[in-house]
Amino acid sequence: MRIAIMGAGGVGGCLGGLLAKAGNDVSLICRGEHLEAIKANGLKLVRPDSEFVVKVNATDDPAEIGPVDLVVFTVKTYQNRHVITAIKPLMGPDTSVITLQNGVESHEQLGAVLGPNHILPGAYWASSHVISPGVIAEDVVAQISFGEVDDTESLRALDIRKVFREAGIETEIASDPLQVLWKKFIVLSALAGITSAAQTRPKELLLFPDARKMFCDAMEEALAVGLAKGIDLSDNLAQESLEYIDGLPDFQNSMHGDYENGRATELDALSGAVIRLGKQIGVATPIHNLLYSVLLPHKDGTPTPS
Amino acid sequence: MGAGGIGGCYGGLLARAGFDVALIARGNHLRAIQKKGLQLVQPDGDFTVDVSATDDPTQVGPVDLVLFSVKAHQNPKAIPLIRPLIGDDTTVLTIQNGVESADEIGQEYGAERVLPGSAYVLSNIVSPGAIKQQSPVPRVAFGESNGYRSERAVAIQKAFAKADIDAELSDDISRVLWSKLLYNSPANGMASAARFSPRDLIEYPEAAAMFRSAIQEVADVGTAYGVPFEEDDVQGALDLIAARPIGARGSMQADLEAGRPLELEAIVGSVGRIGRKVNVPTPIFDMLYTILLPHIDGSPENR
Repeated sequence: MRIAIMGAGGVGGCLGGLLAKAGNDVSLICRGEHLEAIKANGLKLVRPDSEFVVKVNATDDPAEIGPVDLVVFTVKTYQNRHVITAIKPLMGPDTSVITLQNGVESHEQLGAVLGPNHILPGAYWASSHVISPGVIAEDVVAQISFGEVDDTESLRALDIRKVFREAGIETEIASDPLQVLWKKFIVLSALAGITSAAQTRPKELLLFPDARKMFCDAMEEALAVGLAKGIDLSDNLAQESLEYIDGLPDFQNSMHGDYENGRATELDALSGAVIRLGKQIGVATPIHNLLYSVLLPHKDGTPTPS
Repeated sequence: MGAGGIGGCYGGLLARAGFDVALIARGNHLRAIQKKGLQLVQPDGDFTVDVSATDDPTQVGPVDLVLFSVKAHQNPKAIPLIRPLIGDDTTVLTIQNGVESADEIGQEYGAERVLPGSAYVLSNIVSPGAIKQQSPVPRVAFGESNGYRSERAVAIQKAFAKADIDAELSDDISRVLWSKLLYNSPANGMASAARFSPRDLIEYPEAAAMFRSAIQEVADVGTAYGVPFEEDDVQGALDLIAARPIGARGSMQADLEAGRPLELEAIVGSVGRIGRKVNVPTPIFDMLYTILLPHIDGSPENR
């Protein structure tokens, strides 16, 4: 399969490396030192129990690649605005685009520019990072779930799943991908917001009863927005998610890490989206309003006083 | 009691004016004062004054006036410590953040001994034994809880005036304290949660709306508690925050960023605590408290 990875950072690079190693015609789209290193030495992937280097096409210009069968769209959500139009050269009449991003709005944003029929919304569960230019560490083996918005098990989805599985990527077709996106979004928006504002990792923060309650209430808020939008979600999602987080080993939420390191954050796709969608549908979101208002100055990286 | 930025500034000025002042302090700061006196750097000059200093109130004995200026989170330890300073006619004037300190001291020594007050001066320790006063004129407001213009209050006002401290004797000190809480708690709570100065944070419309709602919470709690606030007061508090200097951090925000213990209970927790007593919900302050609670004792290396 001819595949372009738009945003070959931690997640995109990991998937691209595995797909290339399995013999697909993969092009990575990335920038800067990372791009130069991949061009010179190939992409190195350090997995939990092995590592390999794969020679793979890489560029910062989608026009050099031309139309492909599949675009894996893995940039950070705050880059969507610029990147969506930039991938037009990758699009042919039958090109599929899987969005693997945080938040619940990307597939609509891409659909509005590229045509909704091309887009397959997806979600990933992974922990992989660029540890040095051209080198990606995969701490946890990536899992992917994606599907058609209209619930059909399409031929193209089956093809993509086959290619992914043959590359050793755990892949499921979701009959209701929006439900999958929302389940992740509800937990992540609450966790990213509260751990970033508290500047405290989940394990330590959730020892405080008030913080546990605020985390649950923040999930309930986003859940109420999702239910009002007609997404099929369990009433018990917040409690289930709390138990899930409690069961994880110590980790840092990625937005908290971005904040702490002075990088841009996905605040607009997380708390910002809860507020925006809540407003559209008439659901109050006081917790996310507060989290958003105190995190806003750091949205584009460490702020300097005006 | 507590000769840091604020207590040291007032103590230095009172000592220079000839009053018999004893500073109670600790550590390097104490040793430096004992060795070289207290240096006060003011906007228009600086001076050094020889002044008695100790970490042990029993060495001081009963006094006429205790100026109680420790950080509010030190009250549980500091209040019992001052017992040796208390004689039959001793007055304790508290100049701390929050609105609960006078009650806390009164429970230990009797409410009639305590004068609630509030300090208005930007002043901090710049090196052991040296304090920099940044506001042109240090100001203090205080009064009897019942509003009477008592002899002792007038005597204290005169002493402060002699020491070039602008002292306002208020007949409604509760209102004075709550008026400070009205802007200080939202400013410090929001700025700490955002790790961004109040004046710069309020530039964001979403944050400005949150500041207004937070001020409204304090106003509603105060009103239910017996200190009525109007819409103009809310706007006034918002204007005060917007008029702060660009980049000027709130005191609790500065403590947070330096990893020091926080006056979270006095500045943020108090609003929720009093709100629950008078049945006024305080969702914003409850959330700010929750977010900041992991940092209340400072970072581990400062504990």
